[in-house]
Amino acid sequence: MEGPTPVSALIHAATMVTAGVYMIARTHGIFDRSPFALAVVAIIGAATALFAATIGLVQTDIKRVLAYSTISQLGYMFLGCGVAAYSAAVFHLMTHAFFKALLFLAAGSVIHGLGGEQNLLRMGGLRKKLPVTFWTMTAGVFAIAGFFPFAGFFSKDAILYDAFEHGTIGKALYFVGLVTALLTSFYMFRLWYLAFFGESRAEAHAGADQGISHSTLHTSHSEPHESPWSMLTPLVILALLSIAGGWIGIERFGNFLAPAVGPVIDPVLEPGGKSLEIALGIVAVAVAFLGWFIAHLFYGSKNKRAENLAASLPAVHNALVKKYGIDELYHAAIVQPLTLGARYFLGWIGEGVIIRGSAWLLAGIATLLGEFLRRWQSGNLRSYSAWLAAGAAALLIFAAYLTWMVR
Amino acid sequence: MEFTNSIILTQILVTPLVGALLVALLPDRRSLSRGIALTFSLLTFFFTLHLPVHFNPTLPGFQFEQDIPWLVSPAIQYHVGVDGLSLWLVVLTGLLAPIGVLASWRTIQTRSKVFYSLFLVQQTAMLGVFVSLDLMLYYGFWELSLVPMAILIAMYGRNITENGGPRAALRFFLYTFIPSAPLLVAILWLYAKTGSFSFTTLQGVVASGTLPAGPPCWVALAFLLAFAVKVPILGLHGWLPDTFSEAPVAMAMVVAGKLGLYSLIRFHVGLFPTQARQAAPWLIALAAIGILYGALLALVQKDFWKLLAYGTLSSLSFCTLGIYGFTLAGLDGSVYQTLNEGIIGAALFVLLGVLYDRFGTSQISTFGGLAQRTPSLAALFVIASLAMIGLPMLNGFIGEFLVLSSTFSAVTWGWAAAATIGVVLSAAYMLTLVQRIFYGPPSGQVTANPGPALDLNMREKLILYPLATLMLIMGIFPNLWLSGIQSGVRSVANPPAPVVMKQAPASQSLQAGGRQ
Amino acid sequence: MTPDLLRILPEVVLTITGVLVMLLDAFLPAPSSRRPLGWVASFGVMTAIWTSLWQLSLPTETAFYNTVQTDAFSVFFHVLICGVVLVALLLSLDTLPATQHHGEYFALIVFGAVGMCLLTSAVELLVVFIALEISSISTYILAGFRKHTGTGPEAAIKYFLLGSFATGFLLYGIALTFGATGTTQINEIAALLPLVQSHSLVLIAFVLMMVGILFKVSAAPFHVWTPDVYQGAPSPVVALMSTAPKAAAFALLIRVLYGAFPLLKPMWLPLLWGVAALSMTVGNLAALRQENVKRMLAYSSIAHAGYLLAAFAGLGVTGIAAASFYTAAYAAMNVGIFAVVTVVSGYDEKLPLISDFRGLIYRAPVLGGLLLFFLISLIGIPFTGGFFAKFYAFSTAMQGGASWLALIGLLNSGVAAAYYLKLALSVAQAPAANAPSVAAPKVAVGAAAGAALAFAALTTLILGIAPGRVLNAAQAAASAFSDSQPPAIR
Repeated sequence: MEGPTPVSALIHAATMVTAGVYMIARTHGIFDRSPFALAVVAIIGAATALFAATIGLVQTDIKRVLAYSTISQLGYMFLGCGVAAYSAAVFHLMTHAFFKALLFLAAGSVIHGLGGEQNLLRMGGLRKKLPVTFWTMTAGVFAIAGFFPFAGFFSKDAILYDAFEHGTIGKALYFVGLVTALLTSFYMFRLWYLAFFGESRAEAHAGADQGISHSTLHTSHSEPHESPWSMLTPLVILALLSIAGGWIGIERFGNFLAPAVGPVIDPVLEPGGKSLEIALGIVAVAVAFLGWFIAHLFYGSKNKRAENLAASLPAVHNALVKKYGIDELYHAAIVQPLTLGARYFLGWIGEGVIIRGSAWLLAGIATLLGEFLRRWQSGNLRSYSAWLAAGAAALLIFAAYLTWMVR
Repeated sequence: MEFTNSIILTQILVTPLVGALLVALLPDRRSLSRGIALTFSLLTFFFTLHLPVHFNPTLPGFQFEQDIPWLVSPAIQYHVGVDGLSLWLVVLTGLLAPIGVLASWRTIQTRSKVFYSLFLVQQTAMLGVFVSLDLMLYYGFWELSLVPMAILIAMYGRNITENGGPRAALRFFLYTFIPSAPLLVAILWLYAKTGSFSFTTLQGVVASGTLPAGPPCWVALAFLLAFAVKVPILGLHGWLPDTFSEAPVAMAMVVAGKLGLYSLIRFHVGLFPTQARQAAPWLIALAAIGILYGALLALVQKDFWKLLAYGTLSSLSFCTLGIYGFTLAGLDGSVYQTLNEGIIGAALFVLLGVLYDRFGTSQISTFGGLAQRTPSLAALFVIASLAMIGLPMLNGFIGEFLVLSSTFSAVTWGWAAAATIGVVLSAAYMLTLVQRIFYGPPSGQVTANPGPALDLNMREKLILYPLATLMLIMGIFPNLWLSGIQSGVRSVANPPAPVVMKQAPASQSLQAGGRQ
Repeated sequence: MTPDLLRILPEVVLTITGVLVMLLDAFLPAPSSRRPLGWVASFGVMTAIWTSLWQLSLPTETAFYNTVQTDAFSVFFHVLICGVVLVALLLSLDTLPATQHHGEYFALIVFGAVGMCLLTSAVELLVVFIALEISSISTYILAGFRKHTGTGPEAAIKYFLLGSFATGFLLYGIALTFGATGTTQINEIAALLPLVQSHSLVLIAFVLMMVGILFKVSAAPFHVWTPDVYQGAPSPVVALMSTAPKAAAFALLIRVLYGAFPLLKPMWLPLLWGVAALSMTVGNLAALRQENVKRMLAYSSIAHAGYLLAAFAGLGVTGIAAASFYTAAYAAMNVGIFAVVTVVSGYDEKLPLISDFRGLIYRAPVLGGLLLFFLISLIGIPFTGGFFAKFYAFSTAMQGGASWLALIGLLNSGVAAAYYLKLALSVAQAPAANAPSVAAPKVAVGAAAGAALAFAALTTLILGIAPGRVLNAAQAAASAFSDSQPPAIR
């Protein structure tokens, strides 16, 4: 996420983050044999989706919102795998690639247009100034929120349907997924409003160190401006894909993947499947509208509702802003023990005492004996003679002993 | 061609010696010494390339053999040869010699005559270790390789701590020399019982079981101890951090790993397979713990030489793990990883040497944000780091993968899991090193150092680009090397049929007078 | 010349040389340089070497009423001793200051050589005693040659008193042997020994003789004189003292043990092992803490005496061959290292400490390199004479069954590397940044000293790389003891 947006677009949208989903779909044969493993995957997926969505609610950096949104959508994909709907998960993977890449690149366009600004709170009113960006990003927002007939609707709906059909656990997970869809819609429209609507809250040209490429491309200017067509063309292409990408339909997509991931669950064949599917679809769209509405309430016009809500639930808000303290937790639970353990236990005790210590000990013994022997050489002639005589006596005794031994 | 094949190894051994003599005799002018050293080391490398070209992987046993009697009583032969195991190690040593000379081009400024002549003697000694098939000849080269290293560390030590150079040299020498005393006793014992120093003969005798029962256990242990120090294996690694800190780059890049690991495979596992199997559980434990130990310590080092030292310990423990799993894949991986360590280690040493030369310090905290000023250096550093971590498509991955997969399948999965965690940790320490040196905000020293001369110059690029290319090719086409290695490993795994000992040759050859 | 005189031709040559040197010294005008005396002495020694080699053509026989015997063994040691003496002479030519009495110095060395050479041919105990005294007295006087220092005369007095004390033991032992067997001829003693009734008499006689001989070879616990004497004596003399008389004494030891008392072998073999182990350990441990180079090398020679004694454990006469070879290699490297120390420290020993040698390789690279080479040989690194000698000695010991002794010996070698390396690394270390260059003067090496150094270095190298011919010579020397028949007695 710290990287440049095109990089984020590639790896966060389409490639790196989806490797896990691909792995599970590929090795589905192993997973199919263990319902427990599948359940674990599904629960983790749903939990991830919800968890990440909640964090995305309060983030202020545009890329961070998109990052957590990625995590959340990945949760959906895992959920899909967990209910053995591998083709649905992969379908969502594909559509997600379209609109997430679009969103990241559009965010990049926004950031570029603002000369490096990434903070949503300092954006605003960009709808007129960055029109192409605005419209393409809108396509992406609608897609991710799951509006019909955008791409995200079809894939998300497929997963939710398959979850619902997966028994009682499945229905619980479906509910979680639904809540997550609501949150997704909310925070994406929040982003939409904050960035493009209202008055411009931009301060004087900020974000100096973000703009290496920016400063080399243009001379400095203070006005937000649209990006060049080299940047906008991909946005348009991806927007078209975000709109139309889902039209292939889960059935055709599933049949395409069936040789690899197993047969697709076709609602048409289930009793009452089609109507259930349509019903769930309507619910999903309704939820998406609900999210939009709430976002409009908070951010559609200038008001203090967001701040008031945050102020009234400070603990919750804080937890969300701090991302549940996961980073700090990792640091304290893994990084710190490892580094401290390595430094002191392995470093002082291991390297210091055991390794260096044992070598020092051996050298010390030799040195001590040597010192002892050195002092023995008194330099005194009479003691030398005494040593000679004593040595002779010792030799005699030893020789006598040996003679006796040999007998 | 037959003639060339039979003398090529002697050619390889003698060329650096001739170079050393030339350097020693001609006046002490830096350009002269280093020019001669470069010429002869390139020549040697060129000769070593003859070996893989004419090597036949389908033939068992040793090739390019030469067997000349040196002394009759005691019976020491000048017996040299290579098989798949030593083939690429010889080429690697040949490659690292000119690289070492180029790396020392500017840094060695005084008494360069001594440096380059000793460097070339060291080359001969190391090559001799790999090609010797007579145990006494092997021991001779093994011990000889210690001397130039110790002297040069004392002469050119960075003295990071007071008197650091001589102390590191002393520690290095004693750590290696003292365990080689039992090694010599063991070799002499074998000779006393069999009347021969020849490796193939001894292999046969040990396999036939005609030796008395008790002592071979101690003999094998003596062999193991002496080799374990050189690798190093955890517990006997005390010499490594100081040596890495103090030794000049050209010497340090060859000091760890190759000699010890080769000797373990050839002379411990190869000569004493039963005892090696008995010792295997301990060694696997030490290797797996060593991987973690080295990686964890590397994570918290403040000095990049020491970081590399512990990282190397961790890497080389992979090789040990591969050997004592006693699987073909593991042995292949172990040898391959030894080659990798040679190349990656050389690259990292050169890179860190560049940093040390430019900034005069090895404290990581003084660096930061260097990538802006030195893009080529940063790029090559990242490539080398990724290779060390074991990123697929680079050579490190092949070795690590072979070792880990064989450990998982043939050994307990617990140690294998520990080793895999070690891979993760290696990413941790290498990438934090890269991040702290090259990325992040530029440090004071970095900004204070003006001028574009910080980045790699032509000569340094000449060293590093081929190494990086090699890392890539070895990662994509490992079979170019593995085919040769596999043939060597097969013969270690399936030793020749036991030799029935002729009656008491020992007493015959040592009769009074021994007039011949 | 009667055939008997031919048997002691080298000694005759040396005696004539010595007398010539003294006469020339008397007749040369006072202020002129005495260097030609050294050249005369050197030439005489070279002639002695040549005549020794010629003696190989003679059949093995005794002479002078069975008191001296010329065989491959005596020739081996003759050549060895005279070679060392030659190196010492060449060294002294350049390092002896003009203020010293060159005439007596060179004459004493040559006369000492007479005694040492005779010692290796002697097969009768009284002649042994005479030869021993000749060689010892010369070295006593030479040890005190630095008259104006404190340590010089002290060394001489200590050496003289303790040496006489030890020789007293030897003489008493000889007397008791005569009392037990009725003869002092070595071969006859061996023949008569089984007939002796009183075992304890033989035992005491043997042990007393051993005390005397072991003193001369600096074996523990009779080594106490070595550090002080080596420190006080002039360095070129130490180069001689640490090698030639020791070589002669080892030859004597071999003759006595294998020639006179082979029957007692089951007793003296473990005895020697004990002495060997003790010498190695004491020598090495004590050397660890030494700062003075000559003292350190003194202890090192004690340790090497231990390694040499370990060679006696070999089967049959291979022990003799190994011990002989070790003596040769030890002589070469020891004389070499003392030669370097002499040249660097100077006769007046301005630079006696290990720390004074720091950075030698920077200011005198050839000398530093030679010093490193000799140290490497002393440590026992392969492809040097020192390694091959140790290898051969311990190899024969292991074949004789003394594996544990070999282990102790080689471990001791490992420990010994520490102090050799201390000096070596000091030599290799870059000079201290603040050391004034005045304190480290330019080292000048004269032609003669250079020749001496080169000779010693080449010998050490050849013994390490191509020891075949010397090995054969040692084995031939040993074969003189394997014949069951004693040589023809006249």
